[in-house]
Amino acid sequence: MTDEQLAGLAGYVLDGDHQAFERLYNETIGNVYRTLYMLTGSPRDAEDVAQEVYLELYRNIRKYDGSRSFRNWMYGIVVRQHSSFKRKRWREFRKEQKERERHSNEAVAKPVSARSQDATDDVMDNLDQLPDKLKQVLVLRYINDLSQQDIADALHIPVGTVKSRLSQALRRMRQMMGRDLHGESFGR
Amino acid sequence: MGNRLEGKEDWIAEMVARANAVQHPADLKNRVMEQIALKNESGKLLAAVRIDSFQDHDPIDAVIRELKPGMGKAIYFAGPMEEMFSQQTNYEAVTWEFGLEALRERAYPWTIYMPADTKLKRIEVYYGFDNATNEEIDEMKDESRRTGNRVIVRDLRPNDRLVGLRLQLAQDDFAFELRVFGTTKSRIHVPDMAAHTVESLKVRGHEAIFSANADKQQLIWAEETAEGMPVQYELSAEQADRNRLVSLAETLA
Repeated sequence: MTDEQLAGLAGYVLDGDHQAFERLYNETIGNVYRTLYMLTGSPRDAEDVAQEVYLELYRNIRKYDGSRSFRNWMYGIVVRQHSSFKRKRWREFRKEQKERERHSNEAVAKPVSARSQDATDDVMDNLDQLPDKLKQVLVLRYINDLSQQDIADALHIPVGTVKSRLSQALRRMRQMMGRDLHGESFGR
Repeated sequence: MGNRLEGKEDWIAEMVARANAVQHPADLKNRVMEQIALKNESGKLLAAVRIDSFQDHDPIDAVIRELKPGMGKAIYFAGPMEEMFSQQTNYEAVTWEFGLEALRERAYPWTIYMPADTKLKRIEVYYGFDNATNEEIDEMKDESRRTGNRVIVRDLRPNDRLVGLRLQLAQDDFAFELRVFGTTKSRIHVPDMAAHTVESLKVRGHEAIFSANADKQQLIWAEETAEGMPVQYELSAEQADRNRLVSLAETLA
């Protein structure tokens, strides 16, 4: 479904159409959950935050400006709720839980081979090491395929800040993955 | 340069592959759709009802589970990165022996409605708890540092502030109850999500939810007092259908 179609559905939700909200959920949950899974590293946490995301989306749909990208607005909520979740949660308990889930929850993500499972675990472990602000722009850029301008719109921050955070995120990930590319530039 | 980062670095490709393999659980939809915001006609949010199950691993849920009626707990948690303070309560229903009119006076500015042709069988009220003071919170922090315990739990002191009431009612042989709470939020814990259904609808011109399982059916909505304070109403019964509860709600006066 296109961004314009999602914006149209949001209009129906505003008119009190509960089925429209359900369709909006159906059309967006895949990306929302995937994003939250990558940000939290835990299926359970992703589920918890997803509930908050849709509650905020439902409550604040009147604030959505129909002339702007619905996806960007929605990802702004996703990131805001993720940040809020991180502030509130009992991190120590969750970290232990996350470790257990990552190694036991085969149904959530099925790798193609044992070797690639090792590799993706490295990626997830290293991603988890990033500060949230860096992790959020990295996930929005590469998992959600948002442009730097889209990310800036979603997070209400300058494009320059997005570039800076993305640069730091990439540098740190390369270092952690043992693949320092000696300061290559990037852009879009 | 940029192209190399557009998915060609191995770790980015691995990250994307990992994300693409992630699938959201099917039952998440039920939980999301069951979170209903109750609003008035102008769209102002009056209350939020969130229905979810207890999480076995969640330490706050663990405290809530242990709360007996009439108990309130202050909880301090010292995490490695942050600290957190929470208060959890379980109100106890106390018999009110002074009659409906005295209760209406006490509960003002809430409006206590009665359905038409209804017999009032029993009145119960709920009293609140004092919040923990800053001094008490500081003491909990000190205790945590002194003992090394990350979680410190203390009792909250009950007070005589009315926070809710319950009317047990009957129409002929049909028994039901009306609960009224002066709160802006409600969190209904449901132990078995699969056996629980929720439907959104309108009652008395307000957004409402009807929730049901095999044992209990419940209609919840929120209204405002003349001063604009949100008040939550809950009509519930065992073995009642949705239409009967809606009809009852519409006759409240």
